[in-house]
Amino acid sequence: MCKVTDEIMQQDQKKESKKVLVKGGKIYTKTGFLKKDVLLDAGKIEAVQDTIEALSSYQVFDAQNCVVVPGFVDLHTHLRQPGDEAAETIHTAVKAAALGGYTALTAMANTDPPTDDPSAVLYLTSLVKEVPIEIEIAAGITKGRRGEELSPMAELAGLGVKIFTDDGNGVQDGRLMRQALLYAKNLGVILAQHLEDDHYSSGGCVNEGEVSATLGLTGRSYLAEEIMLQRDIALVRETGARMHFMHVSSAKSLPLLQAAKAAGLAITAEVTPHHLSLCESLLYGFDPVYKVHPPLRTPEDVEALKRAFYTEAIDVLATDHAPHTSDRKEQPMDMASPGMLGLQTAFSVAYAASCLGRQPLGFLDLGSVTDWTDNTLQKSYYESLGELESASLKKLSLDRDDNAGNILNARFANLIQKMSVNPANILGMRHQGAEIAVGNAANMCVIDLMADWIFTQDAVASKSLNSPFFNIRLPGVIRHTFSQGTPVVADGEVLF
Amino acid sequence: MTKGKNNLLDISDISKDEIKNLIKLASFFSEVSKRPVPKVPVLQARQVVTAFFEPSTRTRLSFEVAAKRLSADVVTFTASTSSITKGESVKDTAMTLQSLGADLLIVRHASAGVPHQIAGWVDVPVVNAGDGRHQHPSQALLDCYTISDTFSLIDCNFTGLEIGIVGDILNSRVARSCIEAFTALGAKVTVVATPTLLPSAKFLSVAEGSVSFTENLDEVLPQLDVLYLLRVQLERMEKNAFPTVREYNRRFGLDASRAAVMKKSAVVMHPGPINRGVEIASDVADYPNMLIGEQVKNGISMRMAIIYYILTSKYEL
Repeated sequence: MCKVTDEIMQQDQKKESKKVLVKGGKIYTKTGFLKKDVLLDAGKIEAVQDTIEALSSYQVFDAQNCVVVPGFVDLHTHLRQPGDEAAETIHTAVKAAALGGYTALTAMANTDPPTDDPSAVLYLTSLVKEVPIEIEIAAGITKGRRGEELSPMAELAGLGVKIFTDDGNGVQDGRLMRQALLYAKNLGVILAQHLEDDHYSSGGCVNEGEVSATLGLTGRSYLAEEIMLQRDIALVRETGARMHFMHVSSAKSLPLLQAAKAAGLAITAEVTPHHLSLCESLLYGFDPVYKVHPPLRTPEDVEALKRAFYTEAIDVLATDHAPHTSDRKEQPMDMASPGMLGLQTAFSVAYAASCLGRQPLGFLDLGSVTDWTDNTLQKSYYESLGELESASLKKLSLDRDDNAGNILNARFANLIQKMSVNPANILGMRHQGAEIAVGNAANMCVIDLMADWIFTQDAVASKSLNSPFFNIRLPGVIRHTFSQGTPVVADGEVLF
Repeated sequence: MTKGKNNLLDISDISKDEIKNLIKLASFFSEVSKRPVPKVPVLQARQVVTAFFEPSTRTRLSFEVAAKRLSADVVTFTASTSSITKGESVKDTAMTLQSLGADLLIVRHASAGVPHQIAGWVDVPVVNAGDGRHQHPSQALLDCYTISDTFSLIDCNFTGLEIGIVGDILNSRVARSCIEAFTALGAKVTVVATPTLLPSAKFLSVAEGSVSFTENLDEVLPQLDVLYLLRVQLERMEKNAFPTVREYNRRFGLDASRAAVMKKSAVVMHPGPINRGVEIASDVADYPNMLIGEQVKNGISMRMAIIYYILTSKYEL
């Protein structure tokens, strides 16, 4: 462990850590964004006032022209440890996360060995204690994520597991899925589904459609998602259990989610930044960096997901951060590992797609889009942030109206809701996703909405380089991140 | 072939005029092949590597004979006898072949896109000799040459020709390349297959109106100038694409009674290897208008043209 962390930990032990003052930003509250200074002490927010004088004993962080929002919570992170430390470790993933404004992650269970028994959970618990941001441990619904026998869910819940998923694999056997939902129903946990029915996806590496037909590659059909979602909605209705649907990628899934929610079922759903911003035509170059499960789909799907992101159909933006070494990616398309990096770029990509309304990559001329910023709009975002009308979230749409300021304001609040508040609620995390108010845990990040940046290979904190977002000018810069009151990123530099 | 180096990866890499020029060049090389010494000393000391990661006889031999007739040195790599079986990656293999002094890589792989990926890794030109279900451009070009030669077409103009392509379009790299090439030269193409053997019709990248689709071979057979039968590729096919080989043969197989309703001038083509009794009955496999032998012969000439063009960037000798 590096020196700074040692010092911070020692300071913690002596209870002599400096109070942290975040000065000059607009803070996120239940009623909207307000210009306030924020003082952090002992992991909590000690004071929120119009102006707090910077005493010499304070560590001061500049938030001029920035927003101060609750730290992001990722429901879907592949940390690769244990088993594939060449691709990523918990330590490197957490660095990427902190740089991306995240203060909590959810470790997926598809490690080697998989997280499906008490020893694996206890081992992982000991590892995640070593890093300065919070990590929830997801365990497999089934042993070995093979979809054959249930994992010991009650025992694992007793060890603190709150979310179960076979992610990477969908649970194929509907009867088994029903047993899992019934068994877990009263354990206070949530089951999360990787929505792909193998009958319509197995062996495929791109969306089934124009690209798969032209390139002669086996397709993964949207039917894989739609059919499993239909089945699972029926199972949730039948069992009364809670369920979370991962990486929704197809327009055809959205009416199903809307109808099920309208019927009052306890379901939630996530989208990824890449499904909001990349289209299938990127695969025409045979570059496996764009291979991901579920696959990138059509421009119509991307637009439908962007619209749904403004509604209650979609609850969460989750990264599906999936590091892979270049050895695993520089392979024939059908053999290359699926997945892409997400943590460092998630906010900027989602901000460009869902707030600035930037067109997805691969939508127009292939490869010609290298700038996702919109200086005028970014400026008006910052300037429009003020008190929210409580109903404005529901009125959100992609279309501008005469009340543009309100719409910008509500779109941004929607993004924060879905990157932080909702995922924290789904996992029942008490210390995450809270508004910036006195007494709340000090998990937050400071974002300069008017600035922009370019993600390059040199800037990657992960051990792998499989990002599709290199060399694109991205809007919104994460300046500082605070985890439990401790600065973990300052001026875009990681402190541990 | 407009990229930085002269790769031949997809039919769409080359223009209609380039197809015509390659056909003219191939026709010249056919003359060469008839000489007592069927060889020209144009590529002496140039090294052509055939890198076949998937089994093949005729395509590999055809490229090798072509390269030898151009006096190039030929190095053969086949996956079954190489370090691939020891776990070496495609990328490492390609880099090794380049380091061994290749001037041209001719690549076949069971996965779509591998020749494209290799072209991105190496500095020498790459020819796609068939990648998965994706493309087989040299086959399409030799077929264009064969049709042009057989019908003595002026300036390779296919306008007015009706070509029926029958069988497993979904899994066929030959079909993808041929449909593009035939329509580019002006032919009307009719695809004959069941919906289970077709990618969604709207997704085939062809000019609007130049391709039509049917399941009824007998309906279109009398109008066709060219009947192009595809091999039933049981090794690539999804289960239940059709119920039985017998049923496939009854619906889409060429037999004597079907041959009898074809135009007198019509010809039958097949990329080989043929499955006798499946897509074609034994008695018609030797039918006089079968061009399978021509296709193989012309394949050498067209591949001479491709190699010559790529390594010299010249259309004329």
